[in-house]
Amino acid sequence: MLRKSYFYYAFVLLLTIAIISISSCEKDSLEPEPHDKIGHSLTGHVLSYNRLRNSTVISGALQELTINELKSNNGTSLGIQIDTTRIQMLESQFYKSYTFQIVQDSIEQEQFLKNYVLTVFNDSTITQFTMDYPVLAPGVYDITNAVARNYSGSQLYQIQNDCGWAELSSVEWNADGGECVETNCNSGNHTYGQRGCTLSGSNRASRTCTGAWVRRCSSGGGTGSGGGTDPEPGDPYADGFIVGTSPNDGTITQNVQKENCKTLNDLTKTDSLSLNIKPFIDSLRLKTGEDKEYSISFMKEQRFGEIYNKPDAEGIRAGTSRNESYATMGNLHYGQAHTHPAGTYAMFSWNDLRVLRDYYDEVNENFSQDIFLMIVNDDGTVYALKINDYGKLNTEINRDLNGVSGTERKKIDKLNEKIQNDFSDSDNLEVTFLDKFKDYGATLYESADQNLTNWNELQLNEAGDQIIERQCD
Amino acid sequence: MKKNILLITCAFISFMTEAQAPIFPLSDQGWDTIENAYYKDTNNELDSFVGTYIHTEGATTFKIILKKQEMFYNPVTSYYEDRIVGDYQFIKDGVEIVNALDKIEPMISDRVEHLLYGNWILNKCTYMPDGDCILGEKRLNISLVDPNSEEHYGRLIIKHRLINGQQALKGLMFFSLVNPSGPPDRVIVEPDLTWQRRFILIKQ
Repeated sequence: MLRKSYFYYAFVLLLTIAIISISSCEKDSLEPEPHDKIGHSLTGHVLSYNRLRNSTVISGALQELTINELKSNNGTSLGIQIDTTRIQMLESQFYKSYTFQIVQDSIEQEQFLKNYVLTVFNDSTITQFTMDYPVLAPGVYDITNAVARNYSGSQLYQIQNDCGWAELSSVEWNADGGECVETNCNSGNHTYGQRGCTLSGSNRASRTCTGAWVRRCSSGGGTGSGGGTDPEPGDPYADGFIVGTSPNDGTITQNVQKENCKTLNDLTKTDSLSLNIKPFIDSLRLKTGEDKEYSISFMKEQRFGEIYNKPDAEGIRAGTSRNESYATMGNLHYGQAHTHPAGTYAMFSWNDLRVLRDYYDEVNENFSQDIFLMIVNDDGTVYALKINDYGKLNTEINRDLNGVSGTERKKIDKLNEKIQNDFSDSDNLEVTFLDKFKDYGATLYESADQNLTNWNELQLNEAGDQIIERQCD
Repeated sequence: MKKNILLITCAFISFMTEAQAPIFPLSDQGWDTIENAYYKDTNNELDSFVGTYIHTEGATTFKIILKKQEMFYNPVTSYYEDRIVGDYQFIKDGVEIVNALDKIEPMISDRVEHLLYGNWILNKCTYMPDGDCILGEKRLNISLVDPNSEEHYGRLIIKHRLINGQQALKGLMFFSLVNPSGPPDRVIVEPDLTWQRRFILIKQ
């Protein structure tokens, strides 16, 4: 018995060692690629300036950004202004990189697109450079001949040294080799690969294959055409780094409208991960005759690696009055539906646009493409608002708020009154709404039927007096 | 003599300001307004709402005094307007919660912020008809301020009614949150006048 046990325990011991060895091998194979290698995995998002400003890691650098001006190392202005309207973030396992547009005049814009790129590595080290992309055609950039220029340390100071700008080089992404970035990815099991950009799950990403790997040469220079420079003391990446970057020209992603349609249609899906919104809308329909608004907020929940869409714990709740409902917000909340009771306007208010903007500011960027606001009207119509350009929406809302004076409540009261005043004289609320807000970076949709099986994007005709419906695919 | 010169100068500036400002009826107000224009109550529709009104319900009373203010330069909107301004006293269950009537009596001033103000005349019954709206009647929709809270902004919609032979206003007031959005655990404070209320105000 004892002899048998000895062999048994020896066998178990050997088996354990073998398993550990195999595990170690597997772990070795999963080790992240070094940060100085071209082709590491990237994910992409479009960010709001508010969210970026709240980041403590880069708040120091942003103190300089808030004045929107780059300076030389002797403190004089370089005449470069940062546009914070639309910020692209590219994220790898080594860093988060934020790309801003640089303000340019129209003549220069025809020749070059200029970007400022702020990169925060995992150890909070910050590096900065600018990119000049020659323009081949409107919206098409010459990545091969893009010029990267370096800035030093955590300050927005230009390096002026013997090497000029040559200490950075850029190499175009190999799109044919699958080097692409999925921007505005949402829930689902995405695989962000430097080899194939494969998508799975809800397949909601927008893809860009236009970009470059910007490389800071190892000490002493290297790939730059004009030689290198000595590493700065204390710079952990003095031996070189590689940062992926993609042009930011401020335009909306071409696929945004298509994605908006898809995310709206996904709301009615009935699988276990999806929201299945129709029963909630049906319940709200029964409330439009009530003396108050009713609302329900929707959120994400991650369980066992899956992301579920669901109503928040409050469910359908009564608002405070015929003119007010709650919209719960937070990192995981991405949308809300509310009633506009009988005797109120069957159209979004100015404040609804503001709430839509606020959702973007609050929600985790992984879910920003999913943001929606919906109204359920007493006349049976259901409208949805989706963001097509956050930068525009934010700019317009702030412009409105700055266009009236007084306390915040006076401003909001007045802005709502102004549009409702127009509604009161309107024979077509859709036309009136779009006439005033068509350039606000938000798209208006109407459900195609009572079952919300599809949505129609509503646009103004050229004369601005009629609605054109474009059905979602 | 100096005083007379000052008065003449002020009158002249006032005349010139009015003379230069393009004049539009109140109904032209909306999303697109013209800076420094004058939105005038050309048909004197606001006049009928001027007066002192009281709602009584047990030990709770709501007293408002409404006056007409002409060619007020509204810094919020950057244009001139005729408008109704007013203030109120609110006594709830015998306890005075708000009393701002001293701001409106004996006279109104451009420099004083009032708790009631506005000039939006509702000509149709599409918005907040509240059951008994009569097609063609003029209803007044004005802003209502709770002085004890910056979290809320309110509206008051009033229409004329004859109650037991007395001139009266039938009112609907409702409040909204300045920020309707917030985290799930947010504590929401109710305005002093409650979120929504209907009442009859008898003219004094």
